[in-house]
Amino acid sequence: MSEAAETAGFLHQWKGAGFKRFIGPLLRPLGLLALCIVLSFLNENFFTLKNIISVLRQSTILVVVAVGMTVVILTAGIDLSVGGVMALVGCLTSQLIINGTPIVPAIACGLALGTLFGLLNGVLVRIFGLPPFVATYGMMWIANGLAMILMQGKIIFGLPDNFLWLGSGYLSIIPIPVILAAVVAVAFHFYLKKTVSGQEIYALGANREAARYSGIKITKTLLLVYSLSGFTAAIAGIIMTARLDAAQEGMGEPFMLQAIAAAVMGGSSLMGGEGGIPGTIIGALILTLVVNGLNLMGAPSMVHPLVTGAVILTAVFFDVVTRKWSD
Amino acid sequence: MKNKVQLRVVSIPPVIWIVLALFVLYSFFAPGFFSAGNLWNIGVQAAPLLVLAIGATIVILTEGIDLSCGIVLGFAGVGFALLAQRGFPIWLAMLGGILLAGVCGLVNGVMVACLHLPPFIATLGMASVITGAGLVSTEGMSIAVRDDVLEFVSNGAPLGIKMPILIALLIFGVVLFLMRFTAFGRNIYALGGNSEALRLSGANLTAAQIATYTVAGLLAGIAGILVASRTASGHITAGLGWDFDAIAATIIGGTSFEEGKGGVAYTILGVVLIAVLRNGLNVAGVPNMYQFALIGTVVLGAIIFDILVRRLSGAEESR
Amino acid sequence: MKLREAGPPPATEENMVAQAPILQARGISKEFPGVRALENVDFDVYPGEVHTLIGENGAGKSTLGKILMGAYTHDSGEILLAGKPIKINRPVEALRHGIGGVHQEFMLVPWLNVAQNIFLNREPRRWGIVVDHRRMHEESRRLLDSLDVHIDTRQPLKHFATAIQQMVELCKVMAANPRILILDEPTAVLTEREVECLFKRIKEMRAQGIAIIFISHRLQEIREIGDRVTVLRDGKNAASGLMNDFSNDELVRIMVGRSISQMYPRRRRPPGEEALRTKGLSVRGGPRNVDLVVRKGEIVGIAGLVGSGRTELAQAIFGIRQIEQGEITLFGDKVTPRSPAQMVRKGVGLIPEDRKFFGLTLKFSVAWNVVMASLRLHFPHFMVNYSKVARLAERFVKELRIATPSVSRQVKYLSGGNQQKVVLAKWLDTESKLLIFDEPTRGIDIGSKVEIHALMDNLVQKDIAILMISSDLPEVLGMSDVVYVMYQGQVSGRFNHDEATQDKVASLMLGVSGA
Repeated sequence: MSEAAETAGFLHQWKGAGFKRFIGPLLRPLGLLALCIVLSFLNENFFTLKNIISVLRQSTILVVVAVGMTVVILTAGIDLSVGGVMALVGCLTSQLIINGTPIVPAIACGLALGTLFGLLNGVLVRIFGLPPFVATYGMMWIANGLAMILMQGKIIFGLPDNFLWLGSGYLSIIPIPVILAAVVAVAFHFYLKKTVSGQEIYALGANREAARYSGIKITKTLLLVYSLSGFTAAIAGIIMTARLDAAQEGMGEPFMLQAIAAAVMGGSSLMGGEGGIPGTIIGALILTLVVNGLNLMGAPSMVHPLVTGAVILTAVFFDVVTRKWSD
Repeated sequence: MKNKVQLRVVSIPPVIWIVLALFVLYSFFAPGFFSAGNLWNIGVQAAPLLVLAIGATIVILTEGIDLSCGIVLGFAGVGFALLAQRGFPIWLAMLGGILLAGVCGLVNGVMVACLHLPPFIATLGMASVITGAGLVSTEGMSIAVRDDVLEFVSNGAPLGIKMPILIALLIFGVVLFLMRFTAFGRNIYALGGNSEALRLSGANLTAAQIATYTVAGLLAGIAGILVASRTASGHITAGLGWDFDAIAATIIGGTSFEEGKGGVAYTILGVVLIAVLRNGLNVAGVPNMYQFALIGTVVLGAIIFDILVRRLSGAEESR
Repeated sequence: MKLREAGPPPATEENMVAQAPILQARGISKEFPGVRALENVDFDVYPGEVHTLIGENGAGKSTLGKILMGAYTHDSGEILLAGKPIKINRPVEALRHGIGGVHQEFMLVPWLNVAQNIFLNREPRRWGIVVDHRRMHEESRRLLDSLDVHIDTRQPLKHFATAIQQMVELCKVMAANPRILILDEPTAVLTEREVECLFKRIKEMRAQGIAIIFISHRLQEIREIGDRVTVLRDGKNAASGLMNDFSNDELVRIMVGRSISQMYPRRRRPPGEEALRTKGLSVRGGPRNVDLVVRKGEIVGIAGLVGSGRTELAQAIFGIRQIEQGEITLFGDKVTPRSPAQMVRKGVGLIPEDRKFFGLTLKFSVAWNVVMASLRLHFPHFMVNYSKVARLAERFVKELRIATPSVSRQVKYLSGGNQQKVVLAKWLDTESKLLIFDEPTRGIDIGSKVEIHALMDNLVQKDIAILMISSDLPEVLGMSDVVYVMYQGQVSGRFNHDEATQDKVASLMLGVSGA
């Protein structure tokens, strides 16, 4: 591969001068490593296989949602409705199963609903020109409201075993959710980096008007992007319900902010056009480990929103600052 | 080209039509709606929302957004309740709560204006941090406050008008004055759209932006005190979901994220709509859980309706 | 390079000139990424004179004007006000020193009303805090009336045409009572009558002892109003002296420094079949009833003032703007442009006026900008091959002589001329058959201009059809085979290459009928 091609592969990472070019891509994996080391002091069993698998399994839901969120953020948009969609889909799917629908069609319905919600988000943003954070914020409340109506204030549990397998089953030693999350992550990564459609997403995010003037189909791409986010939120909701063996309105709430945090910490700029799946996965792992660490330290769950909020503010701050360096 | 001035068609905001439609609906389905007691009730319920929405409006005019105002509202109540619990005089406790909210707004403003964080993420992150802080400081419990002053603030009726409504209208008047007659107001209108012209004219845009968010915080604090007086307690979730109502009221009222459109005067219409909507649903016996979805739909519907009307009348370019 | 004696113009009944310059610029240099806009430039102006600053597009006169009025800061050199050195970082600081400027990018807030704009951040107050709206409107009306502009100052600025907005900008500056007034191409958007009015006002101000710097490239005007003239070329001083000491021909020669045929290399050839025909085309927000034809192998130029609807026309053809009436025939087939995606597939390319925002994605590399429009062409199976992208880009870099260290360099680091070449490469990569150029050489140094003109000529030799919109009249006249003139949204004239003269085209541009 010629030198030009090699560097062409890194074209989507910022090209700061000198050492910043190296620090940039390395910063995040190093941060993750540092965090692991810190946690190994709190938990002597940290680097055992059992624990690693446990951590991976804890991160799956977040990884799946964050992947979809990354795609939206790449277009300089945002999807605040993912938490609501997760809960709604989890509730719907479990309602269907409890009422006798076979598992596969029930899951299909759930996925369809999530994708539809995403599509509606896209319509609001593109066709009606609402700012993404307004449109998806409104849809969040609608999703939450629908979940409330669906559940009538009750909680569902006692779901059949073959459904719960999705959340707690294993394929040899690897938990099923980890496999699902890995499949989703790999598929999206491949899509973004290797397909024309994926590259068009980057172009759209980096400069929407220039992309439009270059003949890229803006409407089609944006509708697709938001639908994908709804789709991954649906998957995450189903995995979550399967893992907890419980469905309840409002259960997806903390994931919205965490998904954004994971994507931003992973290098996706809120201004669009930069970022990718590998970074998001690292971001998700870091967040999972932070929560893990808080639990190990015995901090009450009330502290979580405080820490998550602080983490995301710091992450976005660094994102903005390092972007200024490269200008 | 001649000095031709485009005709400005003064249109009645669609909001008014919707409110009228609701009135008609309610006369059939919610007969209790039109009683004097209920109408005062609406006013009292709407008062904190109006104060909050005014804060949301000025932030939105600068092309920003404050997604933390609902939490800050609750936080002010928490601060107030904690101070009262510790024995501070009740007025001081109220002031403390309001100032606490102002500090939160200040932090938001600094993040947006100095650190250049996008407003929605800055305020979202802030909301999360304050939620945690609010939970931790109260250990998740609601703190009760007992004092006769609260009765006056929430129920007193000097001049025959209930206190909360008076306070809200007073604040509305003050902010309206600021917007029209001071540099602060002009800066807010010019900030929207990132006005290079204003920056080049020497105005300190950073300070203006920080001031905007700080004022929004203070207003959320006042709203929080109003709510806390009514419930005689402070809990961080007191304002949960109110940010949606505040933003919705602003946008329905006619302020949009488009440059310079709208203002505080329009927001009062949006607040009326939301308050009427919620109250009517309550009186008609619609259970709480349906209200969220319903109101969300109505609000999005109103926004879309407004956009469509503007597009069809040629005032806005469709893509 | 003849540099004549730099000294004040002699005092006559028309001007009241002092003996010492009020503003002096010495050794001013300014660089933008990849381009030297000004190199060691000297300039001065005396109270009570009109000193005209002329040069071609891209010569640096606008840049110098902006530096003097505080919109840009200079890299080296000094500025002296009444003999004392000053540092200006922002226009408001310049205003405080008494230097006011009006340039082509207005510093106005479109959604505030006229009076608010005139008194932006300087609103008259009552009791120190409360804005006095009544007085603000009264004062604004008085200022506007002095320029013979009578409008409702309560209306938002964006309701008014560009010419009016420029008058508002001028009022804004005048309201601050400047001692030095800098006007950059003020007549570009004005009718003859408005120009008359403006000149009257300028002469009044000159009589009051105000020093006026008038930047333009229109020789007739500067001759009428100017006492002295300074010519800039390629960012350097080319000549300076009394207006009457130079003839128009001399000035042109000093400005251009090149022969016409060098600037506009064209090999005329018989045109081929029709590429584009519009009939009765009316577009939302601009052009009405436009009939035009572009054939393969020819360049059709559209001349007109800013706001005459040319860009809107281009946007309509490219599918960005809605067509209200009329029809478009592309390569023989009727077509309704609905989106750029559709038109690109049909072989149309648009090189937009604002290349930085609409033509390029600045933070992407040269390579990615080149292939952006043709991704589906090269990779029909959706799989992107990075080395192929690099190879394609390298081919164009060589062919168009784009100055860049590598194809993975971010486009934002390239000079204006090279950026424009990247935009051009993008459309060459899609093998477009009809190219629409909107201001192809605006803001580009002279050397690159010539290169781009040569490239355009090469393209028509290969049977490509070019529609060129330009405000640079010599460019339109030099490059086009057919010239259309647009005025206020309608086609006011059409000339073949041999019939078109500067005077005929210019008068149609200004709406004067019967050339």
